[in-house]
Amino acid sequence: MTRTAKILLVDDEIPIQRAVAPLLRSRGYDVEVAGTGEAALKLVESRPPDLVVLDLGLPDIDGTEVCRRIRAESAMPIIVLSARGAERDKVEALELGADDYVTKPFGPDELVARIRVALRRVSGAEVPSGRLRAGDLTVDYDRHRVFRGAEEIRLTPKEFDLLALLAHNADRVLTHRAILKAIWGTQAINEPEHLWVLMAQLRKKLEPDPAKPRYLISEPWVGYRLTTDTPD
Amino acid sequence: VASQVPATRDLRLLAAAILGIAVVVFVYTEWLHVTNALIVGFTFLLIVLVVAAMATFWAAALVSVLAMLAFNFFFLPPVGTLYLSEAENWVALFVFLVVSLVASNLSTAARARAQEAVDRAQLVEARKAADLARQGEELKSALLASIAHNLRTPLTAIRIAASNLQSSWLSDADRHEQGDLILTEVERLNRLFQNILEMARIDAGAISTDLRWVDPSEILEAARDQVGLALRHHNLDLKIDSDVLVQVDPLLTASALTHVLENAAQYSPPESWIFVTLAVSRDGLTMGVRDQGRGIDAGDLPHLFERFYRGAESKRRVAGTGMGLSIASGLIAAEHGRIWAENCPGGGAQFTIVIPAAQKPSALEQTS
Repeated sequence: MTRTAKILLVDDEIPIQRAVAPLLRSRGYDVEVAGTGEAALKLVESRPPDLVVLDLGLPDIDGTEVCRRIRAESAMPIIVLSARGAERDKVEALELGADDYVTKPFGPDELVARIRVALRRVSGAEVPSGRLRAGDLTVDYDRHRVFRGAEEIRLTPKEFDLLALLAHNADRVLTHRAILKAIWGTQAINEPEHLWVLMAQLRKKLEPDPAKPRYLISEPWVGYRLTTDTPD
Repeated sequence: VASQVPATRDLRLLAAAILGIAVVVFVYTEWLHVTNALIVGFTFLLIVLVVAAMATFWAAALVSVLAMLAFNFFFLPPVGTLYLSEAENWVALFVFLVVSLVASNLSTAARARAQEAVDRAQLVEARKAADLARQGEELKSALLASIAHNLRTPLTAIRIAASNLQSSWLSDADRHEQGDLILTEVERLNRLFQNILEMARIDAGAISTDLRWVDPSEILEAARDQVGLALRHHNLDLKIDSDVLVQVDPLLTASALTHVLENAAQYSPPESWIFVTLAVSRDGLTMGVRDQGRGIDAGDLPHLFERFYRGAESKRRVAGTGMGLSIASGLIAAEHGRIWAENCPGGGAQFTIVIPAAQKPSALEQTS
């Protein structure tokens, strides 16, 4: 990173501001803080940040609405903070253009990792190189081939489409609806069965232990994420 | 099965009634030599009524007819035949039959009505139990939601501040600030924990009062102490209009006042004033807390002291547990006191607590 990235933190809870702002500064980011949706939208317009960390429970404007309005103006990454159990809000925010989410109570590394992934993607540092590596998994987009170590894994065209979609958005959560729409088209977005079946097939072929996925991670009630950060 | 049980009971009662009629006939004719138609009629009527009280109408009607035949055969002249010589006896027999049938009918109808009433009462009871269960469920989920919501922010803040403290980049000022943040949030968790405990004690009816003679100012001091950081952004104006001792439970009273003070601090802007008044009168100890907030919406007033009730507007603006005022009212109820809220003409909300209490001049007053 050549330039210090600027992050706008939007949360009305003072304790969160007091803890998270120094955390992000310590990791080398510039941080600005807004306590309301109105203030956030103003700051986004007057001094556009590189990334927004947005709490969904704001006192004035609904967080998802703030998300929609920012996205209408700009492509800057948005990471939403939300409560466990508020899966509907997360999905809505993701569908309105948020890039990722972190569930409260979260730890520092979780938030920083998500921010790093989101910034890396927009900075274009490692985007389409023709292949993706995640652990010992290699996805070769151009030749439609997938390897685990040296061993080639044969996938059906649909299976490859699903894997490629997640790989192109590596480390980012994709909602069930977004995946259904991308792979089967708009008419399938309310038929998640397609996705369950295909994901089960894909995991069976890719995952060393399909019962405990390492690459294709479920985000319950929200969607799936292909993680490049595999534990070994 | 249900229809068979009354049927067998009817048969048994019928048999008992026939036996009863036979016994009456035997005792009156062979032993007591009763011939008075009135006595005999009433005795048979008694048997009919007993049957009617316990069996169906049709069993009672059958017994009525049997009793009438026995009456006629054994007691009405000429005895030993069903034939009646005097017209008067026809009338007596007919009246007996009508009376016993009407009585049977009345008796069974009354029993049916009583049964209906019992059924209705059971239905009401069942509905009440279901209502209570539903309310219990609602309270439980409200409790969980409130706890989850009020744990999330402090836990996140503490977790991140603690990890900030571990990193080496912090200046002394930052280190102090992160430490202060952790302490503040731990205190918030501590208050939440105390609230849950107090609520559980109120629910269990485990609040016992321990009456002591105290100076009202001590209660205020204790409450201010308990409120701690929650009041640090507000100005307090205290007015104590009393020079006597009151007999109350000082801990409960101070705790209730604490919740009301916290509530006032939460719902009024920083740097505004909170006016606290303490007075002793014939009603007991009266404590007033007035703030300079936006007051209470009319729709919220009746529900203010309900557990987990949070005003529609305040839900959006202010973080709160929805426990404080309901705990205050629970504690005050244990002291047989009252708490209520109103809007002040000049703006802001006014809470008043009245606790019945004996009073006596303070020792200081007496010696001076």
